[in-house]
Amino acid sequence: MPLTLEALAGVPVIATSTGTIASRLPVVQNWATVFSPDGDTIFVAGRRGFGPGDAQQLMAVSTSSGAVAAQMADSVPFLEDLVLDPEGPWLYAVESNGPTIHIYDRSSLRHLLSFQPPAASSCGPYCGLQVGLAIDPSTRRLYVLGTKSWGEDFYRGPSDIFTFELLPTIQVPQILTP
Amino acid sequence: MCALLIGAQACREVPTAGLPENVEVRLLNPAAWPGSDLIIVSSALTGATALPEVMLDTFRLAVARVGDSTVTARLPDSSGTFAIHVRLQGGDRYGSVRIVGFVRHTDAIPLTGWPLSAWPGSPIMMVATESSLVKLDLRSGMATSHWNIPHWGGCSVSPGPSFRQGGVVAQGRSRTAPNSCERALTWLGAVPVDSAPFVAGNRLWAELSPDTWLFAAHHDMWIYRSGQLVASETME
Repeated sequence: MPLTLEALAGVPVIATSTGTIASRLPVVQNWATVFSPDGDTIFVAGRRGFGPGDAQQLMAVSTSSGAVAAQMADSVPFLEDLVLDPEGPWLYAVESNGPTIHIYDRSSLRHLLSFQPPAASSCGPYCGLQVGLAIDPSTRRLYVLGTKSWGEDFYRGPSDIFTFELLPTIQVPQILTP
Repeated sequence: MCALLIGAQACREVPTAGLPENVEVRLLNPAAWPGSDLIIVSSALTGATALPEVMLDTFRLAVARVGDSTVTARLPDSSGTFAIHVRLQGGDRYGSVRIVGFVRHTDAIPLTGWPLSAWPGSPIMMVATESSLVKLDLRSGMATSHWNIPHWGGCSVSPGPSFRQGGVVAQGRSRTAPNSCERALTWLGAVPVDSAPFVAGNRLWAELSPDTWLFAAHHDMWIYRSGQLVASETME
């Protein structure tokens, strides 16, 4: 399990069977992480340092060694959560400060596109913070769980769910008719 | 020239000799992301200097050539199903396009802390309310609390994971001292199956493996195995 907190020596990856630190991620702070299905890779969005030039970066890291296998060249927004598409080559991310969805190629981590709900359907002038991202591959739906307020126990208050439709993994070309 | 057919829902132009009906115009991606490109392929594009006109309902799309027989048309940042009309070399072709993306917004229950997915990426999540854990299904927005697992954000901010399949770690208020906490418990359904090594509360407890517990507080975490401290970390 990755600990998604701040750690100056690098965020520790815990071997759950022994309770020991197996490796460290090359970031000092991260929130959004997801393991590959085989457990060998962690996709992580985090910062390498706390300096003003240390922007958020998206990278794929070896679970066992902590080595970076792939990294997106540009910085990324503050991402709250990641999910892998089990049926397609995509990695989805949601921003912390609003239900904006970012789509990346999971192999190269190249940014493909971003989109968000139309303003009329979003949560208003104070959009809460997003706390979870989920996928239902059978119906090709992506879900964002958000909260509308911040309380003494962190996120505390009414929540909301944003539903997005995803691309089908296989498309049949359409012959346009005269 | 417009031929109005009896009973027809639309007035379409009669194909001209410029684009015989047996010349295929194919849309390679009839489903697309908002703001992405439609890909249109036809042998009629080969050698043609003029780009086709592509209409999405009544909205004219920007078209670019990307190959001898291929053009792209940039979609708007919208979602839904739309009619597409391609005018090419004096002929017309019709079809439909589905732009995926935003579907709906749903209000859901009040919660505290971060949710715990039933499995990575699962739309079924355990979330904390003011006094218990509930199961929230993001597909329907419905929350169910039939197990009545005690949990209070004043003890642990969030429910914690367990190595046990279907397990969840929750920490409720003391039954005798309202502002104190009980030990964190691992629950399988409605049954508590193990407890944390001591009473303390802050961010979360996680059950890593048999008799191995992780406790996370503000900027620190500790791991206990058989009640003994085996690892610790100061986060900042």
